[in-house]
Amino acid sequence: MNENELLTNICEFYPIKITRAFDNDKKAITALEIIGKELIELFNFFEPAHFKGKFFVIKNLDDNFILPEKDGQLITLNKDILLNKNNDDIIIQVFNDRNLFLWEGIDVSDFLTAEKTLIYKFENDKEFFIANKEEINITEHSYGSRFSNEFWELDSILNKYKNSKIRKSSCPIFNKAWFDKNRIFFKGGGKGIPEDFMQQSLKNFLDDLEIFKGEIGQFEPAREHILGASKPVDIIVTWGKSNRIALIEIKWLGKSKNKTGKIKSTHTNSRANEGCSQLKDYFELAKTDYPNKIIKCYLVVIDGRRWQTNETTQTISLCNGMHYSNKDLEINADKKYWETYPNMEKPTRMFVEPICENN
Amino acid sequence: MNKQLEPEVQFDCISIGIKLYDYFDGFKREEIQLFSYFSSILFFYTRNPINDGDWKYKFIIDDKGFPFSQELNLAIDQHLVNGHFEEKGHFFTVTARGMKVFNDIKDFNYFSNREKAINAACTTSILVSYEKTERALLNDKEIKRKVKIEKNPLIEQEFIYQKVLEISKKIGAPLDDLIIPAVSWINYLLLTEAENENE
Amino acid sequence: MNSNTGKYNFLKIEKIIIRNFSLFSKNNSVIEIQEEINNGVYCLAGANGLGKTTFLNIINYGLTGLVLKPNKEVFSPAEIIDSNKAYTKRYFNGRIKAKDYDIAEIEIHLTVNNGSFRIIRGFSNREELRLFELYTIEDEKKISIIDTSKNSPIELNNKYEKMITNEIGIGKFEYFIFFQLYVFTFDENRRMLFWDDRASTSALSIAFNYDLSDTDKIIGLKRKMEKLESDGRNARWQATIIKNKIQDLIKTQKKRKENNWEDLKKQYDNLFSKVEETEETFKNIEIEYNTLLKRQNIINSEILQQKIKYKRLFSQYSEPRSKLLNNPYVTLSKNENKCFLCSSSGHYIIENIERKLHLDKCPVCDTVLNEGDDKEQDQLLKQIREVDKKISKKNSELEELIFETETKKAELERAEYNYYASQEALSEFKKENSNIIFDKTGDKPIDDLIEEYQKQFNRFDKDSKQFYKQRDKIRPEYENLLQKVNLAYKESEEYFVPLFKKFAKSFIGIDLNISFKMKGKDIMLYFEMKGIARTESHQLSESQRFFLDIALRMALAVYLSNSNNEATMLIDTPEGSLDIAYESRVGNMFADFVVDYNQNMMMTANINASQLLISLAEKCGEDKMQFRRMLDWTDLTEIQKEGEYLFEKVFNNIENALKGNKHE
Repeated sequence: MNENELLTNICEFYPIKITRAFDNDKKAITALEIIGKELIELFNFFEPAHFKGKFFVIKNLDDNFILPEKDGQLITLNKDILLNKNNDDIIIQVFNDRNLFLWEGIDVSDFLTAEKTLIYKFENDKEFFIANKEEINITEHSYGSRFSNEFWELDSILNKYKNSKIRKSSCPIFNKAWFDKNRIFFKGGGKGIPEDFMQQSLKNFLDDLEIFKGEIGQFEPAREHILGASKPVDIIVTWGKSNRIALIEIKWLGKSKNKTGKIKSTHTNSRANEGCSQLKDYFELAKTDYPNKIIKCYLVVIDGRRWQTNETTQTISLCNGMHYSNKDLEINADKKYWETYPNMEKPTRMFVEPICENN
Repeated sequence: MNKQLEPEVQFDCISIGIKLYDYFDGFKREEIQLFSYFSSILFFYTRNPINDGDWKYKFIIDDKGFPFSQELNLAIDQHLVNGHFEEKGHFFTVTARGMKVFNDIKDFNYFSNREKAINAACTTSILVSYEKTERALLNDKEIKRKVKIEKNPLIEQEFIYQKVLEISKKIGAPLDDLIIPAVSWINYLLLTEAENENE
Repeated sequence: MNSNTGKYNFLKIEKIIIRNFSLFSKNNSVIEIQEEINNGVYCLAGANGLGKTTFLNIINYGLTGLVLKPNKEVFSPAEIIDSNKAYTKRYFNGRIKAKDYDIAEIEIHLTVNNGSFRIIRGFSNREELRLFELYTIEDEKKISIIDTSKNSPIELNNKYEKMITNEIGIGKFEYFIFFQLYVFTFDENRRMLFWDDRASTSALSIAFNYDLSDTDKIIGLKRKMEKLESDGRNARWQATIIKNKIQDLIKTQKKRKENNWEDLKKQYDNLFSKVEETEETFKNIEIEYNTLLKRQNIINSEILQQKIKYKRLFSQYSEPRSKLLNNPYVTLSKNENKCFLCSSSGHYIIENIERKLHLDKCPVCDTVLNEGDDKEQDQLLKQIREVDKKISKKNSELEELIFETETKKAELERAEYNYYASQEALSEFKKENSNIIFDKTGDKPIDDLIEEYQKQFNRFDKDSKQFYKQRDKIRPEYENLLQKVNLAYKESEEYFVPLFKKFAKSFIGIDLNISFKMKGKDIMLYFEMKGIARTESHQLSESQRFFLDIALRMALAVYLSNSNNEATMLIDTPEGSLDIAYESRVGNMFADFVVDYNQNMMMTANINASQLLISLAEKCGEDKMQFRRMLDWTDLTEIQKEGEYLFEKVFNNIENALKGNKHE
């Protein structure tokens, strides 16, 4: 790439595009800066990925009110009202002094053409800047905003975990969950076995990730578990500043053998379904326990199913071992909460490969 | 504990710390170093004959490839001891006390130019995403070249600043603005880094 | 042999009496020395330090009233007395005891030109004589020539000086002193006569038949002529310059009438005043600019001061103090890195304690402590804020000032440019109109100026002519005198040179050629040895030099003395600096002087001159040589006694030689 191409490329970048759209007016840059910072603040109380409507944050270069002031609401000191917003389009105007005004249920076309106004738009997991009527797409992630990507980050971490640790069972702690060295059967028998190993494995993974800013474990040391639940959720990840909690529940599928070699448990699809229900319950409880937090629930399903195994199985063929490798979970329609609840993630299935014959 | 730290380095430390905490929930030592280095480059932009056009401390590249300044490192320690920063696992956060201290001093004219550069640097990480910013800075061709020649080399801020200036001039930024130069430069680094990987 | 061209009647010493001279004491009582001096050689021999040199000095003192200062300088006759009288007094102070000082005296009997002199001079006052008798002997009776009975000692001395000068015929007493002390005395100071330009000039002038005053005249005249020539040249030069100026003015006059003078003058004046204007502007702006720079410096240093204050305050501010910091338990923990309560150790202990303290919490129970320190903090903050404002203000001031300075700089550059441009324009104009003078006349009309110049020119012209005329007047006299001198040299060559050659040959053994040359106003001797000129004194060895010097003096003495009025040379023999081979030759030379030319010599000798003495004795014989030993004159030291003992043998040889016997 020669210099000209480089420069052209750089100029494609949205801050520069925005500046040029406003004829290099310095106020445009200030507007962008302020919107960016405000978005971070706002997204502490608002998860755009969970929002069904359109979300706008606007800044007029001269701080003129775009929409009628009387129709708006000053929310500078109580941004937490955003926590409960779900459907209607939200328009927030931000000013140089960082005051915020909120409008709802307004016809958006009213301001989209406003002069000397920089507009941020989030809609359907896509985000844009509208600068002088020019729409610039700035979407980076598959969902959520680039300005607040905690959950998205957790997502990609779980994905990483799946591929780097689970698939080939590369985690030493996770490995303790196996009964046999061929990884056909899980270890069963005691309380929390093999679940404890799995939880510890994931916890450690999250912990060791130096870039991950979520805090693993409890949010408030005083509370040991969510009240009312028969057991605490497996893993809670909290982000203090961003006001978020992720609840992670781990379920495993497959067969476990106890010390004597007898099959202890067999978990199938239904286990996953159970997990969904359980997670939903956690979510409801968490909502009451942490009404001011943004919550997301994850179901991690460790898939250790093998085809045609019985108690005596010592080795397994490639075909049988990998039978379920690409088989999606079958979740009942009524348990597909993620379709209705934005706070619930679709279960993440992590298939564990056994050591097959003739490998 | 070194009590003779310059006001500038103490200011930089807490200013960057607060911003990183605000935007990203917390920060690590190397992140403060990285953004201080980034700020120092932008600072040269604002330099005029009046102020000391001097960032006041220099950086070397440490073994992990991050910029490192001993003075800044000591400043972090001092803020820790003074209760402005708090350790939380892998990261540091800023305490209420730290916020108060920063509020008291953030408007001093003495630091105004630095604050501008720091603001531009940290804002860049919002506009361009943190990971990309970090990656861009660490993969600077110039720095990589230096590391090949010498272990833990000193970074020549002037030289890098020239590059920023060049690019910004060509892009065209409003007078006095640092954000466009910052953002352009990060982009430039990302593009030339990608180039390198393809080569 | 002697020619009849001798001019002077030199003196012959007949008798010497020295009384009450403390140096000459034996067994603590001073002795009187009486010596009869015969013709020929009088040789006083003795060990070193007995007073031989003093003896000669006393004689000279008696004759002239002077002892020469011991340096090699030769003074002209006019300078001798003044230069040496102080030394003379000191010399005798040291050699005569106080008790003898007033009574010590030297008595000399001498004959000059048939007159017999008898003088007694004391050592306490050189300008007096205690006795002066001048008489002739007829029929063995003393007949006074002059009456000196009623004269004061000073008058006696004056009369003496007059009479002896007359008898010798030398013209002035100071010439007598010169000859006596410089030409005819050769002493331990090795004053070379002929290797010293001035000395040789004086000696030869006196010798070769013309007045020393003639020499002075020549010199004076020459100087005068040179001065007149120089003055004439100067005047001529001045005249020429003025003439040129007049020419220029006339030209200008003409040109002015031709050209449009008024206009050009106006142009010129304009350009000139423009230069002045722009120069002033330039200089003024320069001053202003420098003032601005100075002000910048001041503000910069003010800012620096404030920054230092700022840093100090900030340092204080960022170190909040907690009361508990000085608590002994806390201090203990710090020092030992151990928790004072539970004794756990580790560096985190201190960090934790300090962190709690800095959060104003008690390390043990977390209670938030009294935040009295906050006031202090606030104070500091306020102060810092103030300093910060000051710095900011000064910075803006400086910014403005810099801007102003830049502007002023541009102004300055413009002014400088204008100034140089106007200078250029003026010089261009001058070049184009170079034949016209604009600025030299000032306000005066040209005509007046021309008249003035003309007057000056005439004056200089006249002066110049005068000077040359005067010089030409002097010239004949000068040339005459010069002629005289040259003639004298011719004479000298005829008679003097062969004399010297003879003496020189007997000493050095080879033929020498000498000639005189005038070098400027001085007369120089040139030697030629075997065809090679040795004009520089250092080309001969030291002893060769001074024996040649003696040879020259001897030649002079012979040349100048009338018969029966031969000279007496006083020679203090050099102590042991001559080759043995040369020693006998020297003896020959001395012998020739005495025997062949009937001159007289009073010399001192020590044992080192034995060879010299022997050959001298052989040549002279008893008739012409008196050999005296100083043994009886003083007390001898042991060493001197030893020396004398060694001398015994030599002495015998000499005695034998005198008697004409060959030694073994």
